[in-house]
Amino acid sequence: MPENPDPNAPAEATDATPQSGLDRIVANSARPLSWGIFLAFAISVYEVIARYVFDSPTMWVHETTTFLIAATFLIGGPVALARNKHIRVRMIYDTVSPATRRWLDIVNSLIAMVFFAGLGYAGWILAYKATHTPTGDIHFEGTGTAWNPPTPALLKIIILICVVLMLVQTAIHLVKALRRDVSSEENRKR
Amino acid sequence: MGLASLGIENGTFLLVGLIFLLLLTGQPLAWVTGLVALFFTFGWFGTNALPLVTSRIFGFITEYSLVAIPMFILMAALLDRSGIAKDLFNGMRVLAGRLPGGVAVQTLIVAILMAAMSGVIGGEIVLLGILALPQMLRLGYDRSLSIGVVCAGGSLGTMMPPSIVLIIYGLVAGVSIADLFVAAITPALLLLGCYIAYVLVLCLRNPALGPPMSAEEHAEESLGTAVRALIAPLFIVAAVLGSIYAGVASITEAAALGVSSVLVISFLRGELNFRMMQDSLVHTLETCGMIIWIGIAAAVLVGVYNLMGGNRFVSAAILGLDAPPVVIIMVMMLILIVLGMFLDWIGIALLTLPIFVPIIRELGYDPIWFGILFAVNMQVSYLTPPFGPAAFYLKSVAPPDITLKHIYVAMLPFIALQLVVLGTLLFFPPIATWML
Repeated sequence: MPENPDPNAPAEATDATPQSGLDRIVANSARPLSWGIFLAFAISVYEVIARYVFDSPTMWVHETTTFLIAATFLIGGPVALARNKHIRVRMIYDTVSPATRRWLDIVNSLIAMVFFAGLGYAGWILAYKATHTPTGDIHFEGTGTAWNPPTPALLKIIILICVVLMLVQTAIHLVKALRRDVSSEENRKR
Repeated sequence: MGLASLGIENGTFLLVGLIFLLLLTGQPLAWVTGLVALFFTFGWFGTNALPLVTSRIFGFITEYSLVAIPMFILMAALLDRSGIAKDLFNGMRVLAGRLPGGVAVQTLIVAILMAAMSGVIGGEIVLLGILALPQMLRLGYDRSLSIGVVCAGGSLGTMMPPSIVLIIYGLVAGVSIADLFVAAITPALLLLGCYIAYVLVLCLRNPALGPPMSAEEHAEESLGTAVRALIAPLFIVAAVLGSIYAGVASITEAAALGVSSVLVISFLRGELNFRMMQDSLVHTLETCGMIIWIGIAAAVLVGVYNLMGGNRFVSAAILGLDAPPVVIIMVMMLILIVLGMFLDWIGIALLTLPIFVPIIRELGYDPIWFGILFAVNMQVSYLTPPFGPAAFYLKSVAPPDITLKHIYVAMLPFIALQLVVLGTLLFFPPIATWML
């Protein structure tokens, strides 16, 4: 499966550059957010030192790293989408004419939107249940350990946010594809 | 329900057919898998089952062993941006000696050392493509041989501990990742040995394929520089693999120690700066988003499929072949190789292993051994056209006159060697399990 440095992709730089204002914001937010990984790394090392050097293992590192990395994984979805880095089979996509490619983009955006909408609905139910008691009062679901941080509720909210974000990103891609004028590219080819 | 009336057999065909159809449109693999999963959840079980999908997502991303993956990606990203690999390659020139094919052997040795440092492939092929390929071409090495050595050597990371392929296998199959890391060493070295033997046999018979270095060039090397170049890489290997094998740290913590060892070394080398750190972190975030969403979608799909009774259907179909167990394993290998031509390794792992591993257990085989077979298989899939990532990685840095076709042709002998090793492991499991 072709991954990042995909020379099969058309050579122009537009392929990996963000397509819309929202994509640019998402792509740029990767810079500050990526330090969550560094934090997870730093506290993991701290845990090893605390365990072996100071003989006092912590109770919060394990859950905190799991939370930070899970959040990183989720945020990576919209970021990779903004930079068009998601792995796809380009065999047909790259050989067709610009006009056909525009149609493929339109159909693919619509299909992806169906996916995000369905996932968003499921994500909404999950996030609601994680933040509300059966009687409707607000209560954040915890991990159930002695420390019991409300990270499960937070992660379920992040799932919802990321899915909705990708839905909006894809909707913008759809509008861009619909508006794209391919006649000039077609002419240049001839 | 609508789809449930299809029955599991037709349901399976519809599912596989839909995936391949949607893949061909150029839709990202993650969305294709996820959409098909949603479609079947909704169509087979109705709307009430939809929250199952998101709770599987939650369960998948909060696996503690997965934390090791961003750590290893970060480590590899930092290594790629430091000069450690370059110095290692230059220092190892003494190995090349005046032997025909010497630089190819040097490249392979450097490749296995790099594979032992980090668990991520891709970056390694790019680095070897930048460092080793021009060197071999300049000396007049056969083009195919040079390309093949870079791609095959650069893919050793799928096998060599700490490989993230083995981490995912251990997670999905529910076996000890440390045991997998022990079992993988001998097969990885066996592969390396086969590559080296192949290069030497070819070049000794026909030295024109890999002309030796001139005497002046050779005079520049000394054993001292080689030993010095080895210090940093061996320190990193010791930090990661040492702490795993000694049992002092979990895989995740070992990966974090690996990151710190790379940070310390690049600091001492005067290379560490904010920009390098920021770029590596963004690269890690992006790569995680790419592979984990494929994993998320595949985890959901296989969850739904098993709920539909898919695992029982497939294992009944496979066990019902009434074939000797070895043939069943070979059928699985064939399925993995075919899937490997089209899908990404993490997708394959999460889609097939929840179904294959229980069958392996039922047949009385060792799931650790099967994990090694799986890793060799994924290494083959890394090279095989039409979607061998190795070729794309190399193409991105190779001289422009080298086409994808040249690369694929060059990789064929090495794919054959991998299949030979796969067959050997299949019939002689102790090669993998003797150290356990």
